[in-house]
Amino acid sequence: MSRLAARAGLDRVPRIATCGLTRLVLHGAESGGIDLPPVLERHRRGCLSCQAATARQRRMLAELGAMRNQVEPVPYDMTAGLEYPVEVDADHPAEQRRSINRKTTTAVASAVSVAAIGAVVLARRMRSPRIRRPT
Amino acid sequence: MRDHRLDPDVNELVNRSREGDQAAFGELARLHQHEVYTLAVRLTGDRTLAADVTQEALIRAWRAIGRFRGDSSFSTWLYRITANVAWTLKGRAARQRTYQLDAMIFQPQADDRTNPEVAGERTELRARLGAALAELARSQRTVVILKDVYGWSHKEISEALSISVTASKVRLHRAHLRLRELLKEAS
Repeated sequence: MSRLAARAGLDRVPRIATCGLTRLVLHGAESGGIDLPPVLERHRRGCLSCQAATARQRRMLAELGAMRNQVEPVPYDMTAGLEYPVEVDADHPAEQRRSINRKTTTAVASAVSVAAIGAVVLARRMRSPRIRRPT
Repeated sequence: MRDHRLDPDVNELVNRSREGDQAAFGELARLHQHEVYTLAVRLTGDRTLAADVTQEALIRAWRAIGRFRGDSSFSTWLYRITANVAWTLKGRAARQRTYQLDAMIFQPQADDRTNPEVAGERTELRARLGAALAELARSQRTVVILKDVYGWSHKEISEALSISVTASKVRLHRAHLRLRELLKEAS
């Protein structure tokens, strides 16, 4: 048994018990199916609590998967917004103007503001008698 | 559910749309609008907001169709835009507090194809699951829906939501823990 499994206590778990490792076992199932590493799978096979929890998890995932086939009919035609050729045509990549990203605009505006403030502060300090060079 | 990827007309419509044919794109949008709306309803938990998301997603798709390279199917590409728009608009709506999460959104639809007892159990589980989903935080619910309902990979989720793959995995893990807790409480 690997050091990790031993550290997790897998080597000490009673075969039929309320299992504190259920969470760990199910954690392995989060990435997709219920395919578990061999060590966890061996444990799960002997542990009623883990089996029950895995079955619950399977049912939950199956129900979530089944939701995929339920389709909500649209309350009205959602394509109506596309029927304004003037507005939408102008948006088409072939015809649209190059727009400036809003984040870029904000970043440039901030940089210009900081630079302007810096220039004002520097100008004031240059005029200050404390740092003016003696003539 | 109809699989549009198998429909040769869809490819033809996509090609014409890429060349700027608005009528072709309108037809594509009409074919996909129900599924886009369904995804939007699930992600936002609000039918009014979902309608806004759907329309915005279709308009954004029209704007970007020229850049669609066909690496994935058109529907996958459109869902990615929808998830992105839903994420943005829902965030804005949450800040303005104009939309209320509607738990009824996740109520189950009757399934009469199986035997009544099994159907009853499934309906009950779906009802509890629906209520639990409505209770989840927006960020967690989004990942659960994209991963467990729509079968996206963590990489696809991370790209659509502009988060890291690790963040997506962590959110899914926490969402599953919370869902299990909520289902346990409900039973």
